[in-house]
Amino acid sequence: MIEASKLTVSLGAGQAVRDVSLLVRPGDRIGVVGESGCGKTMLGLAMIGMTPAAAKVSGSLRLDGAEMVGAGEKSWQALRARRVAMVFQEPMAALNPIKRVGDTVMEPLIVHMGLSRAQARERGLSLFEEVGIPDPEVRFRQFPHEISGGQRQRVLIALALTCDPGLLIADEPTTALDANVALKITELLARLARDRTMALLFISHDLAAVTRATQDMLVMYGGDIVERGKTAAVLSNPRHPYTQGLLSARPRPENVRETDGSRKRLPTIPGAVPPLTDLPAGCRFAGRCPIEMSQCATVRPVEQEGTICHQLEAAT
Amino acid sequence: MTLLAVENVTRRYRLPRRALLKPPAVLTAVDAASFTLERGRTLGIVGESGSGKSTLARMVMAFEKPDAGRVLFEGNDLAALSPTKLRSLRPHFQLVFQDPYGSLNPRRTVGWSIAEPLRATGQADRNRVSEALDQVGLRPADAERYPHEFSGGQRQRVAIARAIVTRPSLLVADEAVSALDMSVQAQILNLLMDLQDELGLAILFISHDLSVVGSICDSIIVMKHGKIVEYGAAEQIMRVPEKGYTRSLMKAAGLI
Repeated sequence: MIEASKLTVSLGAGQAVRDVSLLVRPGDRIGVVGESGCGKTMLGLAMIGMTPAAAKVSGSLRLDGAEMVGAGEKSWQALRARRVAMVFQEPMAALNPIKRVGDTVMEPLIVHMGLSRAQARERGLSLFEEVGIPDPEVRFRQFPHEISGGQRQRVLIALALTCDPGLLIADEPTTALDANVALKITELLARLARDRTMALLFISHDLAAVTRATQDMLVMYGGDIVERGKTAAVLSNPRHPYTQGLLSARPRPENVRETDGSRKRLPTIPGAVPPLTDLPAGCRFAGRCPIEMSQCATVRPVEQEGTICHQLEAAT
Repeated sequence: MTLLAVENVTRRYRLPRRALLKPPAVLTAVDAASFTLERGRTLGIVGESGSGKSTLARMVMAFEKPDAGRVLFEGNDLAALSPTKLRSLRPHFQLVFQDPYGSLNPRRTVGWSIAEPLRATGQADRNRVSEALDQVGLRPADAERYPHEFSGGQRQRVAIARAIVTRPSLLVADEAVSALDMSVQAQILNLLMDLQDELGLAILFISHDLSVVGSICDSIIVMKHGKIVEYGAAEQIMRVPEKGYTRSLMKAAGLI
């Protein structure tokens, strides 16, 4: 069980993650969506103790009861892989190019789990099978450049599973992949989480993938969780203006095509995500929000029923 | 006259030799593709990486010659034109690149980059640059700024300004919105639709994302392994996709 409370990641004067509270229980499948620069990746990195050296983490992050904010690299090393593991976006960059993928997967089994080479090999092969790699024996002996992007991503997932983590953080695991392959990887991650009662934090800007893989979702903007709830509920009935803007900006034939053959324009959110240091102190979405009120830019909204927005506060 | 006609175009590449005494294997990147695009219309090409969609784009742009078949632009067979004739025709078909950061010279002002296609035809006209910037929603003064001073979405606007500065009749957009964030992607798609309605541009829109192509295109080509597996009116394909492959692209885009 992992519990973050008021978790903040500061980068210089800006905050990449601001006061995030989050409870992850075994088997939870949580999607994290938002545009680039909204703090999704930084939140993932904070939860595995891998924030960049320049970042300052504050607040609280409890891993099975142990406080990890302020804990040294040694304590993290003891927990990483066993308790929390991570899969990254670019599978080629994450694998050692001069090592056979089988050896890469065997290493943590030998080092962390204390298995013999023979045991590690057997365990590695069964992991390859679990993540759906065909001909595991053949793949085991190959180098990263010899296998396709989708298979590489599967190898990385197998690698992340070597020490039976309680939480798997997948950061944009499908972004670099072709549509059909991405679909299979998404389904694989959801299946693994179900079969192993493993928690999954699925970070992605791809709403279709999040819909498929998760039960709950968080929407991040400017380092804040602006909305959270059941994935299906958030997508069908978004309440925060940012979530609403994001969903309606999706190109959909029914949103664009008119019956007479002309095309409607997509509703857009004006402007772009500002740099961290230029974010308003109050609601982070102030300045781009269509329903902004006078206090929005300066006063922080309070979370109410899973969303933070002054308008919704005023309405209740 | 049909603006663009692609007739039975095939492009093969030789793969690296695997064995000394055997001939190298040949990859057919585009296999007997045919389609037409009329003025002012939008044709989308979807497919996964390796399906041949970018190779097709390069042949339409006359960066490569087909091994068989013809690419006709306003009735001219691009591969048969003399270099001089081709150069004089180029202003009429322009490309919007996927990655504006990689395609804009970081040491030159964006005004310089936008004027590049004009200089190539010997007509460097500052007014055209200002006009193009204005058309893509930037200020004429932005011509003096450098690529790093712009956000990703603004850089894509610069790339579009460069493509329309010669007043082309055909725009080839190869994954032009794929690298953008969701809200910015919508802004750029709207811009492309606006420009098309204002200027009567035809667009060949290449993307792996069927939700984008299905929304803004009149007709759609679905490519797989170099072959056109489905070709028809967008509405028809989005409503009743014939091929399982098209259905799986729809599923991946979250449309079904």
